[in-house]
Amino acid sequence: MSATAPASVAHLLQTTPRRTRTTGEVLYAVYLVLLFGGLYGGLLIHAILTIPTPPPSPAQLRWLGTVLVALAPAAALLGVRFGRWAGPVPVTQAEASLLLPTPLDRRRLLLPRYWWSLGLAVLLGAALALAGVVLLSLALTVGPAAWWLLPGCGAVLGLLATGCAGLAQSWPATGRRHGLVRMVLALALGVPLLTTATPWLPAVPAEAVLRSLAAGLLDQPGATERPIGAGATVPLAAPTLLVVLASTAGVLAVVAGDRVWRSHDEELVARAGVHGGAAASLRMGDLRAVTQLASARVRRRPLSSPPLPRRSVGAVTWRHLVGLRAQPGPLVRAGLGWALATWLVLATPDRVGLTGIAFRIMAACGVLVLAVGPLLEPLRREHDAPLAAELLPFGFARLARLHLRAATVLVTVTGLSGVLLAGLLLGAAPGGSAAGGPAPGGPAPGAGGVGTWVGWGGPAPGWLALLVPLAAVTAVITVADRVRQPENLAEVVAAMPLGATPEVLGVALAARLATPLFGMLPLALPLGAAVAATLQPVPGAGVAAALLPLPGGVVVAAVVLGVVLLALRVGGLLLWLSEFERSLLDAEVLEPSSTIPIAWRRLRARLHRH
Amino acid sequence: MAGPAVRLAAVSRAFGAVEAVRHLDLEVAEGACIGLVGHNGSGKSTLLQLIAGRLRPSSGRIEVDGHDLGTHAGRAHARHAVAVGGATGAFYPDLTVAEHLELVAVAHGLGERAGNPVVHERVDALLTRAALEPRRDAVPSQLSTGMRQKLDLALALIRPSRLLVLDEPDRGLDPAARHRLWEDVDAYRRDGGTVLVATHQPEGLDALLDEVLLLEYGEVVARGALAAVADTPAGRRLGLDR
Repeated sequence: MSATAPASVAHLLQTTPRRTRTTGEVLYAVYLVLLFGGLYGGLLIHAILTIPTPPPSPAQLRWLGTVLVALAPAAALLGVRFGRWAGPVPVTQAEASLLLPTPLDRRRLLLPRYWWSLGLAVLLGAALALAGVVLLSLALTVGPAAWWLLPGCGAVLGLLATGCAGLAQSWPATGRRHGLVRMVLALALGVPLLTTATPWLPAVPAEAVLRSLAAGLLDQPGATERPIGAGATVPLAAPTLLVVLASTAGVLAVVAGDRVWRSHDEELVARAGVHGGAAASLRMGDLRAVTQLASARVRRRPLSSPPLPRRSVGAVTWRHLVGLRAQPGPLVRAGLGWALATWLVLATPDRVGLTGIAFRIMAACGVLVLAVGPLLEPLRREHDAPLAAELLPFGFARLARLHLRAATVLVTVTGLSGVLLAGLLLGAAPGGSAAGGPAPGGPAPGAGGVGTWVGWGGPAPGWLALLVPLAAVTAVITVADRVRQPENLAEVVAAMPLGATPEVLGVALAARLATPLFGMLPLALPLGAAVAATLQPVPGAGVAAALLPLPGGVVVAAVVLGVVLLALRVGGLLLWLSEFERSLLDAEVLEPSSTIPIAWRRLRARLHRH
Repeated sequence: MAGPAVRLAAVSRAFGAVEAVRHLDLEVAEGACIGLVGHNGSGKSTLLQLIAGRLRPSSGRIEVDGHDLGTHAGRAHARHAVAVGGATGAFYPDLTVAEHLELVAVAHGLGERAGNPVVHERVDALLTRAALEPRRDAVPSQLSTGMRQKLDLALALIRPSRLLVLDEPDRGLDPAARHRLWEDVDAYRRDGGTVLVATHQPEGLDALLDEVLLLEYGEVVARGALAAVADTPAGRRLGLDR
């Protein structure tokens, strides 16, 4: 069977100028890179600058080993889930329609994408673990073994997750039929947690693995006095386990690679829409879009299905409750979430040394969002996916009422995320403590800044001080952004303006809504700090000191970054709006007088004539 | 080829609880032109996707030119032999109309590289035939629905194939384009190809369609000449008699 060399096809695709990429899109991409890069980069820099001193005791660091033990089955589970949803071999709808049905050498067409995904996952895992080692090295003396063992663990986890994803993507079944696989993975995830969480169960296997992993190196007596992972202290089991895990994951990855290119078109085509939608959403927004798309796939709801008509809350709730019996995925997730919460709250304080009601509240909030969210998501989506006809005419109050529920959910989730983020950010500040007060031997309250008061160890007013302004700001931004921007309306009423399905468009829209919320987060932090300082003045320090727990340079950089982000956001949106309208008009989707800027331009021309 | 071009044996396909195609047995002779009619959701598109190898049957066996689509080799053969048009409408946003045609032609081995004289000539002919010549440098977002449909059909016709599967190819076409479409299908059949076409407007296609299959809820409830099918109870329910 002869196959055309894909090189000529690739050449044709690569040499085609990207004439549809607008300046606005480029600006928006820069905006996203700066936003997320700045956010996470700032977090990393802040964490490095404010690493707690004195260093954590070996007993506190033991939990890292537990996490690593749990991460292997968790990575496999996540990989399977990712594979069932999208998979590591991205195929767009266009490729599914035009290139897959050709006699091209499928191995050469698909395998490079798989290897790229694999390499990226390995590098990402190693880089993340390396960042952890760098952080540790600032507080502790890190021996040479830790420098390769921990990144090795990260790389192997990436390899394992991608291999599992590849296997799942090439799996012929289209439904959720892998009960056995899921059960094994859930057991693999749950058993270590249970054995470490409950002292009356035999914890020997988990402890053995715990101590043999790289983090177990940190548990050596006197780890803070001598190099961590120094040759003499490396247990043989650690590198052995790593090699075994790497070998297993490697074999798995190779097998998955061989299966992927042989897989049936249906598996690849079914995910093509997800890949395209996710790519479009990522271009325009954030990971929330991907999460929602994942939710759509998990519930086996076709992406091309139109938004359902609105109906009563009771009817929809009842239908979903009945549906849970047939598809108990959300219930399982909720159960696993609560099990994780139980483990976190009951077991972790003993192991990590973190105590205090704030930590338990944080864990409960996190689990609430993670576990109960999936249960509520179908209701929210059904009630916030209005028919296009319902959006006409464009009444502000009507639209605001329609989308208030979406805004409420977004605000709640973002607010909680903000609190967690702020807790992580400020709790790590000098003087911050997870125990609700100053760290043992640390500075007195007030000496370290506002972290003591509004961090995760702070009292309830501190939490409220962060939550209230965040909620207020994000509520206003969300509703205003949803209603006031004409392209949102145009996007909803247009049939398929970006070549995407209505559901994907809705997700992309939600993503664009969530983006400014994340952008507002760093801006809202000083506000929350000010409120906290007003509520509970820091003894011996003024408001200015409370507002500036960070070095002055970091604050100035954050402000500059915020201004640049805002300018890019506005400029990018305006440019994108212009291009978007033009494409709608070219496609005869919109009448020339149906959008605000067009009407404004007409009015301006008329005024000019007169 | 001795056997039929397409053979389905007890083929079913379910989407969750919905069975789109039920225990279907079908044989399509080489060089035949078969029409599929039926209500929305009767299983026409699913059946065509199954024959094209893009969907996997829940049960049963599908053969194209004697090759079992349940095997990797069978699906590879289907990619060579079966051209699909009218159903997808998915295009590369950055490629022009002409470049789309060049891409598919090159991918099917019509030329080593885009710009090859053979490819160029074939692209020009199809663009002219589909009345897309004035928009050859337009990207898909600049095309109307009917133009996209024309491009989709041109993409199905530019590649060599033995079986042409068309899912509502006349949707969104103006009368002149619709007339040209059926002329092209007839020419394809006269060249020895086999055609399976689903349509909601079979009127006037008596000469073209050798046989019409009427589907209801995934089952063939009537088959034969268009006039005979229109005269059945199912045909009357569908409104073929009007």
